[in-house]
Amino acid sequence: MSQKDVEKESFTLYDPLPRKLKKDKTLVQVPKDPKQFVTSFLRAAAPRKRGEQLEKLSSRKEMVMDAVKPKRRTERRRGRKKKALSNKQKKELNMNNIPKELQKYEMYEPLHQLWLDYMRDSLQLKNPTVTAENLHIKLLRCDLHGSIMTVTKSKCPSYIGQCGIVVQESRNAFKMITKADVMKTIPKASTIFTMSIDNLVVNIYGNHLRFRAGDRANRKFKVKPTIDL
Amino acid sequence: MVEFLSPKSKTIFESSAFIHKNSRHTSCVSDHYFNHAVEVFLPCCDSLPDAVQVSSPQRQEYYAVKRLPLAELTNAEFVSRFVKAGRLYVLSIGQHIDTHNVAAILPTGRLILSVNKDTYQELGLEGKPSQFEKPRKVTKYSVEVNLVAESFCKGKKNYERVQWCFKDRLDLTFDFLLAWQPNDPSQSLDDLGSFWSSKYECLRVEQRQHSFQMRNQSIPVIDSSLLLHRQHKSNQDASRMNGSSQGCEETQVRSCDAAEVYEWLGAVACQCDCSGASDSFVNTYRCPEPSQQVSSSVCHRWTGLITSERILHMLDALRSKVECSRMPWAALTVHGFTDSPVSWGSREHGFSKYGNNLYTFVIFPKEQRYWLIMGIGDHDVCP
Repeated sequence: MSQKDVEKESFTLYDPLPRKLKKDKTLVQVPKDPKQFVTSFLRAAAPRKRGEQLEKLSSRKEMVMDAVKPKRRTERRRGRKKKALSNKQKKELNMNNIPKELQKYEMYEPLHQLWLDYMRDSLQLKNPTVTAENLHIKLLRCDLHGSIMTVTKSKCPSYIGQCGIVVQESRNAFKMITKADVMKTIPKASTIFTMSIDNLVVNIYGNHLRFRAGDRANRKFKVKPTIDL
Repeated sequence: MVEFLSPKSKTIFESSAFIHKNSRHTSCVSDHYFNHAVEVFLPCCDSLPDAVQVSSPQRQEYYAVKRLPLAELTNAEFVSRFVKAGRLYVLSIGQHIDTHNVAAILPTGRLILSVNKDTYQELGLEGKPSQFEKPRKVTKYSVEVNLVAESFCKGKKNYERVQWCFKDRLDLTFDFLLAWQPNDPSQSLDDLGSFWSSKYECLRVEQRQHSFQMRNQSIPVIDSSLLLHRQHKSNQDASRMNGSSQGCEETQVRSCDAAEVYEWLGAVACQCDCSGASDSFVNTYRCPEPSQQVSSSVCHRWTGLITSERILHMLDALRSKVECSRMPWAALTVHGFTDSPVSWGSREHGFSKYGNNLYTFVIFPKEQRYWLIMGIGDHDVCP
């Protein structure tokens, strides 16, 4: 893949939805009547010539989507493991790492815009009824991919001042891409990060966030003192 | 009952001659950068001799600058104009070294920052934990920046990082004392004052002096010729291992011990009453035996920021004075700043209990011999 193709592809990620899908409002919105949704979905998805069959289908009163009996699996098949790669295999295939040609700061700027929209949406800062406590809980659980983070305090002085867009989060570290197009891995332990959402500046004690991004979303947090790094 | 441990301290004693090729007196004086007070004790003198007065630190002035940001001291223009063009002594004052941040620039062009843990974790400059801290419980760090390194110039990474750390990260400001000894004699201290006078409050300060005279006082007798003899003898004793106690006693009678003289000098500097009579405040300290009566003696003290060149100068003047006059001996005591981050050279210094770092020269007329007594506290590295 040449570099241009890569860039094109990565930018299509941030494109708006195709016009076709936008027109059919029933697809984008959550339907109230499931029957109506099914018919409109089928109409959009199935080839045109099969219109008759579709009408037949939609006129049925009962729709059982999973009526087909699954084939009985043989003993051998049951013994087999799932098809997804194991973590070890993923590591061997280098799937966890972002290739060097994709480590571009400008490539992730739209991601940051998306993240800002997401944060504005979920925090609802403009709503006057939002209390600080609510904000804290939401901030703890929100996704941090795409935020611009700066290290303000750390036990190791060379981390201080590192700033970039977070592209990966693991249990013990943030991986961020700096303005110089370099990927930096910064451990969460004994580090204080700062990020800003519009006018709100948030200091994050890395010691409190040492969970995987997915785990953090629905986790009960214990109150820990934040005196020292 | 509460028991207080007596603070640990070290006293280092050296006996040598100025003309000896391995004599350490020059390095001892010139490596002790931040001198707060110089004290001269001259027995058998009515007033301070002119030769000593001329070479005294009286004429050396220094600047006191208030609330000066550290970024100003590390920027390239200042470094090239002052740090590289002479011996610059800069020390921050008003902060305690054990708990606060202290900054100093040594004449060798090194910036030494002694910072507490919180500042260190926010500053962003690489440093070492202080030597006197317990491992895993470090609360003090010392950061060193070489200002005269070739790579420390505009556009280089290290320089930009240092500037950014002092400007944008933390606005470290101190009250500084600055003394400067330019290499080029056409330049003077005024350049230093005019450099910032528009932006910061600069004060030109003179050394303070204090002098007192003592009449009909007894001073300890030190016989320097015996000293040499005794050393020689003790060496012989060590090899023979017999009759040593007798030899020592013999010399004890005729000359005072260095420790005794040192203690007595301390009592004189504090202007203690050494008559031995008991009074309402019981002080029965007496001059160590053997002693001799002297009609008058002079003690003169200068305080301020005194450069080590001045002290070397003064030591030379005292040497020649002692040699040509009929003084039995003379003493020169130099006190370092208690809150300076270094004592001798770049050896780390801490306050601990009293922050001593001082040295005393006792100069004898015979064979240019001298005693050097260095006193350091608990948080100090032996020089």
